[in-house]
Amino acid sequence: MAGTEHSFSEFMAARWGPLYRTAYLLTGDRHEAEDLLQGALARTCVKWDGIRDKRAADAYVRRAMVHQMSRQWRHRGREVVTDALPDTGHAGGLDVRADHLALWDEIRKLPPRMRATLVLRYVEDLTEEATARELGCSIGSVKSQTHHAIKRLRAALPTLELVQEMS
Amino acid sequence: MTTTEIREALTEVQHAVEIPPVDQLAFRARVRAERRRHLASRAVLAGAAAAAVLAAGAVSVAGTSRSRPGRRSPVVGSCPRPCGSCATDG
Repeated sequence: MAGTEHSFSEFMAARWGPLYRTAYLLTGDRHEAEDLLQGALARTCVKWDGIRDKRAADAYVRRAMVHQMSRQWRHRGREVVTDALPDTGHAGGLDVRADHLALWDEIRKLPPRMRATLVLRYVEDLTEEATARELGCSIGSVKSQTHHAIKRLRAALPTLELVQEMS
Repeated sequence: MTTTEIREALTEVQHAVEIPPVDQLAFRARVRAERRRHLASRAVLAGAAAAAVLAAGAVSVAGTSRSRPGRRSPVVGSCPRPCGSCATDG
C-alpha cells in the first residue's frame, strides 16, 4: 500500500505541471483548471492499482478530466456565451505574442466542448477517432465541432483568415 | 493562416501559463472523499448483486416445489364434482 502511494506521488510530482497545462487549455481558467486536475488525480489515485500500464496514466488522467468536463457541461445544459470573461486580469499574466493572445481569448469564449475538441486535436495531437473516443461522441461530431469552432474564430478574427486544413 | 496558427497559439499559451504548487491538504481531502465514494458505490453494487442472487434463488426454489413429481396436480387428479365424462368406475 505504501509502495502504491509512493509510486503515485512520484507520478503526480512528475506530471502535475504538464497535466495542469492541459487542464488550463480545457477550462480556460486557472482555478477551474486546478480543481479539474485535482479531481481527476484523486480518482486516478484511488484506482492506481488497477492501472496496469503506468505509462498510460497520463492518458487516464486526461480522460478523467475530459469526462468530468463532459458531466459538467451536460449538467449545465447550453451555456450562454457572453462577451465578458470572468477572469479579466488574464492577459497580463501570460507572456504570449499579441496575435496568439487574441486568438486564445477567442478560443476561451468557445463552448467547452468545442474548446476541448480543439485542444485534443491540435495540442494533444489525437486523431479524429481518438478525440471522438475521449469525448464520448461520434467522429462526425468531432468534425462538426472543429468546423464550427474554426468558423467562429474566423468570424471573430477576420484579419487572421483562418483556413481549415484538409486532413 | 492555417490551423497551425491555432496549434501554435495553444502551445504558446500552454507553456506560458504559471504552474501553481500542489495543494497537498486539499488533494488528500479529495482522495479521502473519492475513496469513500468508491467504497459506497462498491457496497451498493455488492448489495444489488446479493439481492439478485437471493431473488434468483427464491424463484428457482418456488419453481422446483411447483414441479415436484410426488405432488399430484389438481387437474390430473380427482374431480371435485363427479360428472359423466370423468367418473369412469360407476
